[in-house]
Amino acid sequence: MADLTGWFLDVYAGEKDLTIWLLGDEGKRHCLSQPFPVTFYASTPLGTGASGRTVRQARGDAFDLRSAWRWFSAQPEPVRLARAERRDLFAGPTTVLAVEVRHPADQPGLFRRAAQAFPDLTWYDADIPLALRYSAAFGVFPLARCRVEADGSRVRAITPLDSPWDLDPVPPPLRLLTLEPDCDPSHAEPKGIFLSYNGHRYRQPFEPARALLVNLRSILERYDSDLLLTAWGDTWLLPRLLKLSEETGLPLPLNRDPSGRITRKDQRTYYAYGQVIYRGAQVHLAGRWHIDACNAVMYHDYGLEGIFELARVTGLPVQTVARTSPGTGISAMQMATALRQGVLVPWRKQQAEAPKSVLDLVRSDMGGMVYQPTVGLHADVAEVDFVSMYPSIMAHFNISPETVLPGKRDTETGLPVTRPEPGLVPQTLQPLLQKRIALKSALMGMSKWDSRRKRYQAAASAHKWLLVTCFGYLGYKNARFGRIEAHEAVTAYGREALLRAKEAAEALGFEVLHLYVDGMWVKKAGSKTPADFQPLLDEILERTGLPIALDGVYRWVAFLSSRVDVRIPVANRYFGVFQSGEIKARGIELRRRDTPAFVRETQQAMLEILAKASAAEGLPEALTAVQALFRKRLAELKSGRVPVEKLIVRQTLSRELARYRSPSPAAIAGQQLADIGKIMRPGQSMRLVFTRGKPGVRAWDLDEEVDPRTVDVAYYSTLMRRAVETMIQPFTPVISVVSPALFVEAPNLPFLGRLLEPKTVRLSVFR
Amino acid sequence: MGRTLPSATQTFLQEQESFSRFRRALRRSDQLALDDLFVSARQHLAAAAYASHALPFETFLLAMLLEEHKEMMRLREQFEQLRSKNG
Amino acid sequence: MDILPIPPPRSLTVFCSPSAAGEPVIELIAGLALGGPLTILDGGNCFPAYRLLRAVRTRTTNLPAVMQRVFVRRAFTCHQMLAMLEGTSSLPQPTILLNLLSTFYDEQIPEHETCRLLESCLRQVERLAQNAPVLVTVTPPLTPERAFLVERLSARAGQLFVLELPASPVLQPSLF
Repeated sequence: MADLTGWFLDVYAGEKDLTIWLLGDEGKRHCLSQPFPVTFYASTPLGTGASGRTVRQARGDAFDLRSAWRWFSAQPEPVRLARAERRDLFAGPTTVLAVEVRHPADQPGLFRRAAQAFPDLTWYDADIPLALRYSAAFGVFPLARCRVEADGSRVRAITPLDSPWDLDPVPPPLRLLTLEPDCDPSHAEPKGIFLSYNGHRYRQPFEPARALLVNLRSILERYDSDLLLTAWGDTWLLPRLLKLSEETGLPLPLNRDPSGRITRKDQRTYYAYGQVIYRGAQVHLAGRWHIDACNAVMYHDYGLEGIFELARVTGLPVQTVARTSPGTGISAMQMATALRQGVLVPWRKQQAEAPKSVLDLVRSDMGGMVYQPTVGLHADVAEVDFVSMYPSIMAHFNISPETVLPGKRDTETGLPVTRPEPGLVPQTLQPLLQKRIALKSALMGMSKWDSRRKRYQAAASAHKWLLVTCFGYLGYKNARFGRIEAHEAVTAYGREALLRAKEAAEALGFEVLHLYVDGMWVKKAGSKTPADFQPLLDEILERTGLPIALDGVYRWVAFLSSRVDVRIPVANRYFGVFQSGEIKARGIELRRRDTPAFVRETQQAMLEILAKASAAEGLPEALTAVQALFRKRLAELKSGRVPVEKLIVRQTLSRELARYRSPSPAAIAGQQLADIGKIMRPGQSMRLVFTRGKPGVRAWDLDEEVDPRTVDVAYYSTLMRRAVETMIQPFTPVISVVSPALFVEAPNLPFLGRLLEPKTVRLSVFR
Repeated sequence: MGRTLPSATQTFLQEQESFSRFRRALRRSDQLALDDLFVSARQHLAAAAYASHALPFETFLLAMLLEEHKEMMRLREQFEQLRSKNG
Repeated sequence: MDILPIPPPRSLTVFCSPSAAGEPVIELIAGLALGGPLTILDGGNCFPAYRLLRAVRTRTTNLPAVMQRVFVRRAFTCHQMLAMLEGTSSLPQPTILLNLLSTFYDEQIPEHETCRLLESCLRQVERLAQNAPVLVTVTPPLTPERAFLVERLSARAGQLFVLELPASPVLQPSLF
């Protein structure tokens, strides 16, 4: 019997037992096995009664658990059956048929057949990822440090040595191999691959294929990387390499586990949260991790460090967590909490809404409070934000699907009432929130050169996405533990918190400029430094009980009005400079995904020019510089000196090409690509350029490059003008003071023209 | 997910739209004045949403009245200042 | 304006139109709401709260009283629809089932599953119809593959009303 310590890398189902990979402290990668039967459950169907409580319903004649028992006994897979009592989150203790499957690999197939044979039964713990079951059983999670008692290669016992909530876990010494094609395969055919490992970096051509495969195999075997990081590995590179391997007959040991399979998933499109989402094909390896940087969700946001943090915190395998949306992560965490507490995890969401009177519906069917801002330019403005407001509310007020009492309201506050017992969702969120707050306060006190900074930021970013999704997930129609009453309770508390924050501000003599769901912008004569706003933060904490933080004090901030009518304010559309010099912008062109780089970069440059103006005196000079930049960029565009790449607009294909009644630009581009054999799916982002004449749009990824002379200069000029208008709008009274002739170049700016007439100006420069 | 009622902005636009026939039959100068009234109601959409009134238009009318009163107070103050200046 | 008659008791009335909660349905609900409590089961996230309230207001000033006795429940998937129907007691008050089939048109649910679920739902609907009038509204299917769902439903209906848009647009005759 040997005692091993190291890092837990992966767990998946082998043919009979589980396969476990451990990165030992001595440097050896151990492939171990462990028997691990998994159990799922069936009960007679449950429905939601008129009072909102779950009741058992008779559904036809086919729900007999006894016949299910007989059916399972007759199946080839070895199982152990038992009658048991387990807790349903809503219905409480429930009698269930427990089906213990000896070999974990058998469970999914067996369950699929069982659900088909007995569609009317309610199924539990039926589709839980293996890694989560393992983590719930032993407390060991991906990248955890652990101790293993092994008998040869069989695991006898395993204990975790650290926790997902540790701020500074000891990281495993992972070996990394990077592969990327020498150009974007969707744009042109790559001719070679860049390889990078252990300090070496070089390019190897695709031809001759033999040499490439032999070399790759040698690197895989000798260097034996733990992680294969690729660009387009899921969607192009690995499938291409696998095909080459098949054609030449030369083996390519991408898997470290010789008996493991390479799991491939098809690309797919699905609808969630009212959006079309596209997921590329996937290639998962066994014993080694493959992460495709171009197919990893939010990779640009938090990179590898973020992925590892997500794996630790959610308990999902690294390869899975890299490719799935934050919603899956939160769902996994809730499932893990349920498993640890012995609560049944339903296969399908069964909860229907409890009846509401129309009065109740009108009061509760709302989102966060979205105020119209005081339009114009303001100086010395503080932005205060509730920290992770919705998750904090869920944790602080114990809002969970099973704790909200439908139809009951507190007589004083009018807010929904919850049961005192700690709810599943708050319990899941609590450690995550605590870690996030710990990370953020550590980051605030950390010097810029601290080596931990990057890792902490990546982890904080990963947590942010989990927390942001958690609320939406609560109301999601397919969420196992979702419940609309809980979702509505959270928004009700959110509105109340924001209103109390407003009242606190007004009580302390602040003027409230803007309110948006979880944030508030205030100012007061004489209040300039962060310390001046501390009493406000204290008062808000006192009145709401929720954590609140100062995002910063703006030197100046401009709240924008509607492009269409300058009298109509628009929420969450502003730009400004903090006292630190940092620029913040929301809702304007450079923040939008579909804005071409040319416009985005110009607007950013203009923002930076304006940011340098420290007071009203500096503005006319800054505005002149902005005007000069605008003229220069417009001239570049008109003379064809802007690289076409910078004019690419990204638009999502919202449905199948055939379904468009009149094609959008994305659809036109999609059709052009389809004509040359590149099929695009709904949810995929099209890269296109607007061209003169018909059809007015050209896909970027066609075989020939876009001819710069065909670019629709008028269209991009308009985009540019609009972006400039956005920048200039708050400063217009200053312009009329300086010179109306400043904008000779832009006669067709709709409201600027109007604003230059003094009598229609209703804004003063600094209000 | 789950939002059944239209948003405050959507409700506002629907209410505004329901008066389109009335607006059409007005003189042009009266149309502009009516537009001003609707614009002033738009300043208070958040409060209208929170009010959760059974008949949203009543809240919008109150918002219009609110803005009118603010303008009236502003004018009265200016008037008083002018009067005291001219003795 | 087309007027829907009050559905007779102990029978299932089906109303098929391009919008599952349009004018005729709203007017009917407003009329019923004056007479006492009623339940609205919304299967298409289409309950027109404000328009209903306005329609009720044209009939009575006592809006709050009416608001408090009209109950709404929403189902966002076909499985929830079944769970909701199973959990609805059969009371002597009208039930309006808005857009029953909306969630069944979801292409991600396999056809045989929608078939099975619809059968179970229809059994529940018939149970509710034993004590009081039940009106079910539906919209035409998004794809022809799901047309059988409407046919199944219509076959069980005691009364069927269909509202169709005119086949060709009305041409504005010229003034001169």
